[in-house]
Amino acid sequence: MSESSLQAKTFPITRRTFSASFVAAAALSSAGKASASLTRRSRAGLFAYIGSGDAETGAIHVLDLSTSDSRIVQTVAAASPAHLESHPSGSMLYAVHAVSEWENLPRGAVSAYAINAETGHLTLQQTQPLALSAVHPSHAVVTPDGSHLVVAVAGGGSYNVLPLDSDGLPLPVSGLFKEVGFSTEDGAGKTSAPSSLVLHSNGRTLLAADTGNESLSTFHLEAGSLTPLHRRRVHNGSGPSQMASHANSRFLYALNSVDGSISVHRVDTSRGQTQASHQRIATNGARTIAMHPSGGFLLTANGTAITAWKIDRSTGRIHPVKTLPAGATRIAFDDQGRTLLAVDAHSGRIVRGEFSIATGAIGQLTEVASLPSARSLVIL
Amino acid sequence: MSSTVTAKDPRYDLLRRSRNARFPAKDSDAVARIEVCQNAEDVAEALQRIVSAGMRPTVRSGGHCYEDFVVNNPGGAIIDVSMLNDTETGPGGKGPYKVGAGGMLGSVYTELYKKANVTIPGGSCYTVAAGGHISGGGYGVLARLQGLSCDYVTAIDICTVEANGKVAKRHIDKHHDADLFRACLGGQGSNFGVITAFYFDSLPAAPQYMSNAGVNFPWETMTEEKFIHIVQTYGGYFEKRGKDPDTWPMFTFMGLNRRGPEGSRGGIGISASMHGMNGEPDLSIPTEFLDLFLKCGDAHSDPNPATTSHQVPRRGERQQMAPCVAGKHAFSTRSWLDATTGGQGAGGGNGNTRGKYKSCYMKKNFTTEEARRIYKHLTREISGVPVGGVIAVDSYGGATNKPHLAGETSIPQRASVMKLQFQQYWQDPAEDEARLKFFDEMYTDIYSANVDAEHAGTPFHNEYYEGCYINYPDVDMVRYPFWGELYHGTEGLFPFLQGVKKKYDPNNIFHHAMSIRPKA
Repeated sequence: MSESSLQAKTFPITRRTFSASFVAAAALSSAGKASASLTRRSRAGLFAYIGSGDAETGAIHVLDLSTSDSRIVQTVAAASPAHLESHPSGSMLYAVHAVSEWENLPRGAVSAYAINAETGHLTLQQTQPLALSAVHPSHAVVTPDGSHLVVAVAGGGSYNVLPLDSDGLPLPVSGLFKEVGFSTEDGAGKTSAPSSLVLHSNGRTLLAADTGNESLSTFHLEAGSLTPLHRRRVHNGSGPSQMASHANSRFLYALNSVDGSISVHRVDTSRGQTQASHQRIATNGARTIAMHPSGGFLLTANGTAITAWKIDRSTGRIHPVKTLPAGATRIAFDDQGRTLLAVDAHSGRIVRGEFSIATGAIGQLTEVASLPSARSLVIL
Repeated sequence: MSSTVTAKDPRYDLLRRSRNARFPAKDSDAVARIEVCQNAEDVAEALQRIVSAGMRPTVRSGGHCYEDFVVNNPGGAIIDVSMLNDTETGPGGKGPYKVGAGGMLGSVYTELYKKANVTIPGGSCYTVAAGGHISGGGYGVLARLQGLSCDYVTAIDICTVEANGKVAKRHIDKHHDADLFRACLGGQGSNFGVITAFYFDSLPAAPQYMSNAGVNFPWETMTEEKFIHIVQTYGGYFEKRGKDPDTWPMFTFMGLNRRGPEGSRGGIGISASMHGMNGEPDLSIPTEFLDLFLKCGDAHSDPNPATTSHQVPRRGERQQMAPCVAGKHAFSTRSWLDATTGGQGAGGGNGNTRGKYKSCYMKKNFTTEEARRIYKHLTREISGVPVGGVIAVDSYGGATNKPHLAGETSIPQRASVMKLQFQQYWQDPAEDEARLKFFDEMYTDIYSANVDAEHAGTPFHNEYYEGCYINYPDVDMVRYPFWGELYHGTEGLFPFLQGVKKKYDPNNIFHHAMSIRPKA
């Protein structure tokens, strides 16, 4: 699961038991375009996909977690893979290329890779450019019915919606929403930079963190188009860059990259609004945030430590319970929430640990690989 | 309030299209709607609605954009300013003058002439409108005599979009938003907002007469050696004699047509058009010019030459042309207004023709190797496709080459003596690939002769060239990382435009394949 994606994979329904749910969701999809050929696959092993590098050096590395030595079994070139996202079927991986030009035009792109269920290996299927000006895309989510891929474009200040065909391959951009920024007192103004997305399990309510606008926006997604519903300014000097959401979607946790705080917000899906934060906590410079699949813990990490925060299920409020001396810039869990992987883009260290759902403790921490400039991570 | 044209409207199919039949390339590229505006208030209101809806606006005045910058806007909206076409003068025909962004050049010439006996030195394609033309520089038959259209602009009305998404109506000049004002004088206004009007404190007098004559060299008797002699005779004139001010009232055109089937019209045509300000034009200058070509051998006198590349090719039987005689060229003289507006103007596309264009500013005569490569491509066979096309070599320089104007406008090319426009037209979409491939190969080869390895394939700024003209955009050039400098020069204009872009369009609302890209 990607570090901030809620999607529809509600705990304890795991990816391996998701097939029936996915097919049902597809049948109920309003878009009616959900995959006919992609059904939930059972996977032989456990694999992590790690994106690293920039436009010239970028790659996706396949890490086999099913063995004790957790070795890298494949590396495929992929320009600046800022984010990795999987299809609900688990058979397709999407890479968001955070580049300023694709085929010499000012836009980023997304690539679709077929996942070999046995070996975890990736095979590039297709690359689809984003709309003009959609430079440096940053994040993406797939609708629960597998019919659309929504991309947040930090550099271009916009959102792109790409339909997915029955094989999960992205089609040209069908919907676009171009954001604007806000005026500042000095008259210079700040521009929009959508950085992170969470799609509610209803598949239609899209939540977006906009670092530039310092806001959390809500959109209605239908028939491949986005309609803005609400924009919530987090607080002055916040710069929300990542989000994580409780499995029942009542609460949203925003990591505010400018002041390093976490703000906790209620989500009112009936009104399509994110409420003002009812808790704001300093984190000593957290660089990433991740939701445990149980919905019981939130994890943050800075350059020196990973912290597990216990979530009060009724209020959504959090408090720290465990801290481990290990820096990270991305954290991901397996579906069961027992295996944790943390990557540190600065040191290149990739560590694997076992997470205690009972206490929030991380044990058996082991360095499994070293990948400089690792920037995106997903475990399937 | 603007008239909104959506797919349900019978006007949609026409208004969604470009004059270049290649665009939109597919239906899914087309806009969701067109906002036909009648005044600046309509423009501001329509722009606000588009931005607030998260849509992408593109801007159309005359619809002559050579590439797909306007109509390739999936799900977006075109702001059509073609109805903002008023041309106004001050009392008694004095300045200041106001030209709406939608004013077609032919109408603007006519109105300014009849109301005030002045003109803008604009283009030769008379359905081109002021908005795109002037903000991209504005060049034409009077350029050598009077300079560029943008050189005369003293103020502009433009709608921009602030950081917070609010539309701002600006009246800009040298004292108000001076940086944006300069950027809109050659840097293409659609990079920064929607221009609704141009103002001119004063304008040059309109010529009274125009006389033209020409010579023609048929392909049947052409050799490579003769071809090189012809083009170097042409280029040599403008590298030297053409810099003398007494030659500036003369505009010349050399059409290097690709060799067609046996007996087809074409060949190398050269025309000289002399403008007369008072009384009958002095024909000694164009006579001196045309006489030079007698040395090339087998020159025929063309009594009705194409004076620009935008004239519709004559149909029917090939005209009989007599051999040229020194000092005796068959000049035809007409009133300037008739010669300028009569029977012309469909160039650049009529909606049914597919087109592709490239350009080059030349500071010097053709080198022998350059001419040889041009000859090779004009004569080589293209299997399967009857690829035509013309390289239009226009005289340049004169009043355009005032160095200080490079710093006051956004046209940095102020040292060129010729301006080339590569043009190709066809009808059948099935020929797209072969024609575009040929055109690209030809251009790349020609501009690898006098250019260093890093910039090979382009007329990058050096002792021979001054890059390309942004109003003749060519998306093939974006494959070069230096394409911004190729069009906007190497003397700091491109970073300046990037700064203006960031300041006045911080959200990059106005963008296309070759728009000013914000600094990384």
